[in-house]
Amino acid sequence: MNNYLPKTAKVIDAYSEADNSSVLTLKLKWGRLKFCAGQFAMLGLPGWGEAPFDICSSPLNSKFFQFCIRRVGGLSQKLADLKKGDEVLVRGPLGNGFNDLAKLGAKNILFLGGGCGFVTVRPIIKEIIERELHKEKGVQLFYGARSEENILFRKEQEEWAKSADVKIILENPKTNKFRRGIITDLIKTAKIPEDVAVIMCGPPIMYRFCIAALGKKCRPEATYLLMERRMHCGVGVCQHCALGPYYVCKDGPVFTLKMLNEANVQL
Amino acid sequence: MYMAKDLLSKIFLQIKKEKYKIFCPEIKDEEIFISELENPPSKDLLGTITGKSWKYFLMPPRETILNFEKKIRAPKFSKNKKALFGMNIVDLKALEICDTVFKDDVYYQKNRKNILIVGFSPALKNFKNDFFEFVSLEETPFDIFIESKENPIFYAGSKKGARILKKCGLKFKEIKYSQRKKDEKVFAIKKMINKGAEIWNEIGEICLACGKCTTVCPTCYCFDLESATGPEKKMERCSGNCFYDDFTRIAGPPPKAGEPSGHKFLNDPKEKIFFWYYHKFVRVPHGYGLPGCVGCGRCTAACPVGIDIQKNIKRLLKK
Repeated sequence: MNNYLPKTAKVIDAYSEADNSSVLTLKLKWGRLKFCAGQFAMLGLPGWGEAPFDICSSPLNSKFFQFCIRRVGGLSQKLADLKKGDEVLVRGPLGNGFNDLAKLGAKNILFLGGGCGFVTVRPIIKEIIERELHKEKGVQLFYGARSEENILFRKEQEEWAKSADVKIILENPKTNKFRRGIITDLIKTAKIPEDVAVIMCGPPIMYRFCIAALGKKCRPEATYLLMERRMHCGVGVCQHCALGPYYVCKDGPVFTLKMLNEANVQL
Repeated sequence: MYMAKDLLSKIFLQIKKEKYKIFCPEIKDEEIFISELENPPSKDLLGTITGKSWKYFLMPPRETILNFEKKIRAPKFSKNKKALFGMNIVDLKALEICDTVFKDDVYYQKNRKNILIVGFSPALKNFKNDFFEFVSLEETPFDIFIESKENPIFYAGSKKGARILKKCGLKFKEIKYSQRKKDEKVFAIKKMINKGAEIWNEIGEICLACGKCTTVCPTCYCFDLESATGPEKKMERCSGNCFYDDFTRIAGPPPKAGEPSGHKFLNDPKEKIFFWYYHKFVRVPHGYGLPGCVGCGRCTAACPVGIDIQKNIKRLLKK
């Protein structure tokens, strides 16, 4: 098997999302893409290279899959500009992901999302809602963004709020509709149950402060951190995404805090 | 040390007869290069540690892995046969690491199949260095191995090797390769690596992050996947270098106004050289149970500021 051979996918829908990004709905030309929430894929365009993106649609649907692409570099600009009918190369799914969200080892789930890392919250919460796991577990979602125009999936969040306790906090709100502050302010003031699995999707600096703010509620074995690195091979060989003894592309992108602590990885 | 030149020639000529291009150590401009030879080499150079390592025969510095034409496909694999003649035992240990890491890599394996390995080292008894408890031929990959001594001993490590030796009319021992069990020494180094802050600070101060060590190292196998733009759309695999700034850069807005855009996870020579040591002494042992450094000394010889990997590891183990 050739690890580097991509599959061709067709863009069947594309729409603009906040934060200068675009959501692409893709369908493989042949076959389906079976994946777990948290897994990613390499998206590429001939001549433009490839880069890793988190799959952000519900893993319960393998016929179509989505990516939320923010225009930050040459390739992402090209990808985000794709239109319905265009073709794109997909290599994946790669990485570990959550193979069963029912087995997180806690009665409650707390999502902490920040910046563009928030994209990865979407497939996880979608799976939770579609599988009706929120009926057995209390689900909280705290999201810290810069300003109103940076809030991702704003419309969808209204839908999620029916099944989860969704709280948004903004660094620089322009209206008084949102609370001003950073995500740790939410942790300090909200009621968080003792028995909670924490899933963090955001920049590592956010993880550091959130872990401190959570105190004893952050149990290393039930705290899941999604890590981001530059990637090339996607199969744990090329060394670009090395994180301590691990590779984000193979052993991650979902790590428990326990795994990172054991290996002395500094966040 | 005497070794009948005609025995060596015999093997050389037999390999040549079988349409292999033969590469041996050769002195050019006072440095030991690896060149293609038409005639049997001088035996003094066989088994020496060459300036550059042999790895570029296994992992070309640049190779096309995908062509984007009407169909996306891998290029046709070359059928050229190459013989690497006169590799030292530590270079064979490095080969073992590459063979293990690229076990599932079609490009590596297709190329590797066409390569004949001829090892050459003096007496193996009690061979050890700072990175191995012991080395035995049973735990070393090769096709032919020549133990150079007054009466040289020949070993065949594969059917290919056995056939060639047989055709030369030489007596030889057959060896069956199996990956060695846990090497305690490797794990001792792995355990200590986080305790060496003082050493890492020291070498971080003097390291220039020039990356010369990675180009000569026989076990530095990291790579980049690059897309070529232009009329010929293709994806290439190129040797990587973890000391270079773009190795860990990800796209993104500038962290502060006026700064370059994106984010790097390795920012200064200290972080970079630690990452390099970490690969050799933690990630490779963790992933494959092998030491990621074979103690060939090439990086120490190449380092412009004299960073000595063997000395540093000895210091680390004394802590």
